[in-house]
Amino acid sequence: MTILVIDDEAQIRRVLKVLLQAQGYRVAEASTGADGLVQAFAAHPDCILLDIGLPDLSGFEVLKSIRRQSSVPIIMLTIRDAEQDKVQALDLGADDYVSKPFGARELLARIRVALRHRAHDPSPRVLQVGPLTMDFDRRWVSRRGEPVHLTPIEYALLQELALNAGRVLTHQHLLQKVWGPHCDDGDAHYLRIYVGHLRKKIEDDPTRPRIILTEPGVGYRMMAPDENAWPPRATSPEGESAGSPDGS
Amino acid sequence: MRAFRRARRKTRRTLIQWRVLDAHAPAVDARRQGVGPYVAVVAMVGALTALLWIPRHLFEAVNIALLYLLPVLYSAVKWGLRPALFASGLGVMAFDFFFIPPIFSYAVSDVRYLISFAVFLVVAVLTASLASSLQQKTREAERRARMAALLLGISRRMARVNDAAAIGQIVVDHVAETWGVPAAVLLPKNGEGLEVVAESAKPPLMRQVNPTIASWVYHHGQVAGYGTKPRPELLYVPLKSEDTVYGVLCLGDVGSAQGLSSELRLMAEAVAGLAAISVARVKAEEQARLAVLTTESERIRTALMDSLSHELRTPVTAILGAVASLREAWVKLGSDEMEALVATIRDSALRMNRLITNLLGMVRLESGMMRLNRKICDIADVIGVALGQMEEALEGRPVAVNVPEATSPVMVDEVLLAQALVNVLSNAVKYSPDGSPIEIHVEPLPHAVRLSVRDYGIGVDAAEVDKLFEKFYRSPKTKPWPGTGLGLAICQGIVSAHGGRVWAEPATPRGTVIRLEIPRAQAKEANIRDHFGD
Repeated sequence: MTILVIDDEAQIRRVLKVLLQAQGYRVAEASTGADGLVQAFAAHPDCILLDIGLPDLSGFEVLKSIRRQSSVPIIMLTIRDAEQDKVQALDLGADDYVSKPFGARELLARIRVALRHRAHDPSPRVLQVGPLTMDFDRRWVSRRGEPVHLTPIEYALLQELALNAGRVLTHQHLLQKVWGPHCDDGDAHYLRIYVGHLRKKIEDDPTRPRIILTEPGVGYRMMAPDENAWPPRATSPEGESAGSPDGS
Repeated sequence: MRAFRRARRKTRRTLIQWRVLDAHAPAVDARRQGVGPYVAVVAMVGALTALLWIPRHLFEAVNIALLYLLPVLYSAVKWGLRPALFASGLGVMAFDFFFIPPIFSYAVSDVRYLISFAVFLVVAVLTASLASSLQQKTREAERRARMAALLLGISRRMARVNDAAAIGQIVVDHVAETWGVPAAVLLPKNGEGLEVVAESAKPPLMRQVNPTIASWVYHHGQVAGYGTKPRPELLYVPLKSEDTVYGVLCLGDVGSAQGLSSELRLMAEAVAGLAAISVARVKAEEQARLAVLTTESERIRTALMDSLSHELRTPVTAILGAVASLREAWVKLGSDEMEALVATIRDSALRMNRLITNLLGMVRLESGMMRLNRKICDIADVIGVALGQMEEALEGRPVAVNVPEATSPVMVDEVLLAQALVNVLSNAVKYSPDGSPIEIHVEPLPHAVRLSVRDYGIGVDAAEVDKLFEKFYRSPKTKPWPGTGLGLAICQGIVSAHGGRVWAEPATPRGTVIRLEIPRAQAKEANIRDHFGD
């Protein structure tokens, strides 16, 4: 498995290289957008980590150029508080993103999810996420063995999230998949309402959701099924609040 | 409707203008009144004569003479001195001609009648002059009252604004509306020279303001312009108060060749004086505000430098120290010690990251770059996001979240609101004992949603609840813990950007409650609430 890292910061590349090689991945590097484009086709990567802020081309440009010719999984390296950038990158075909500063566990989980989707595994017919078991052939959902009764829309929403477990899905993506192509961001409140209903039925504590996670300003993400620790660690950098204040 | 209003304003304007002119220039008035009063006097005297003619045998001649004083008195009050004098002359003549024997002749049979005539004339003239001067005084008093009312009105309007240009606009509007005189106000520019800050649109100035004259008036503090040329020029009045000139008021012509009366000119000077006082007030306020700002930014700069140097250097020192140990004593270190050093590096980096996040948040707030991306949000979801971000810090703490079922969605920027909540929560964690509970409570109010976060920590003194949200303020009680005093300031910035407010209360028996109140964006939410029910 080869992973291409496109980032202009040598320190970031060095750390990522050590981290990824320790996990058994081969690592290719590029420090500019132009070099990254060359490598994206020359190195035949299985996954690309692409920084949004590059010195020559913007990350968006590189993303668009790669997407024109390849469906290789691309994970964007973004900065916090730039939700519009994240949404735009996802709209342009990025598979996912991690915000700098990111934790190793979070990054590796994203890469695993992206690679799994890349492998085109046939969608599992039965999926286990935390205490939840979903059997898509029987349209049957249970939680700790107890059946969960869902409305058709709730079921469709849960299915879409589960089939992409571990990946972030934008509001617009979910709206169009579940409610139909005529829906846009203006209808986002339906989504929020149904996510709320769904959480009440499947989460242990709906105020501290662990199965359907909110990506504020972007969308929702279902916990990846292989995150075997239950309850899982949070997804922000090493679980620690990145924005906790120091003032009194 | 608008046409009607315009017409009414026009009527009022011409009326007042006429009155002002009327009151201060009686000579012009008499001319303007024309022959009307004299014809009326003749008619009155004629009618009186006819009335007295029939019962003339019943009256003594003296009585009839007294009755002839009536038209004199009436015309004195009504039209002033001249028509009254005319009435007295005419009265004497009619009296002599019709009632003094021989009748129908100006001859006088009895010489004593001549004395009567003299007495009559003296009384009539006295009456006329007294009555007309009384009338003039009344009009003068009315005019003064009107002027006082005008000046009072203008000064009230000026007292309400805090901007020199707005004061200029008030003066210009007032002059144009009340007198129908076009006007402009010039104030000094930041650098050099004067600029027109307000100019009446209706009526417009007929000619350009002459910058040379304006500048002369501004520098010498004297009125200039009128009377020097046959065609009226603009009148330049300095906005002057106590030897300081703040600008220039420029008046156009009244619309006729006669130009501005001295009365109007006095009035203009009074208005200019008022404007000068207001501009002076605004200037003083501006300077006071600037002084406060300078002090404030000085304080913030010092605090920022302190907190930056301390809060950034401490973790950097820790990281460098840990790295040096790892590097140089690699072989000697036990696995526990290595773990401790790695944990130190990690904690220090996280601390730096927190500081950077807060500094960026502060800069974004200060520079006005904080744009709200409001969307319909479930408040429980925002709390969930904040708790998720605080996962590790909250470990081992009972956290009770109480969101009533009836809480409808709100229009907020969920990222920022979650950030505000994280800031409140991390204070709650930081300043309360390990393992002590934290309670989050949501209260749906008719016009807002109120979020309360309660801890069982060191609490807050009632005296400092307001200061808590100031930038870089840290309570003396919190000295043992490191910090910058930015967290709650950012929280407040975010909440205010939503139009809401945040405040702290001491909790009983101990601890602190921080309350965030976010107002609802009415229409859209009501619409959503309907859907929420199903």
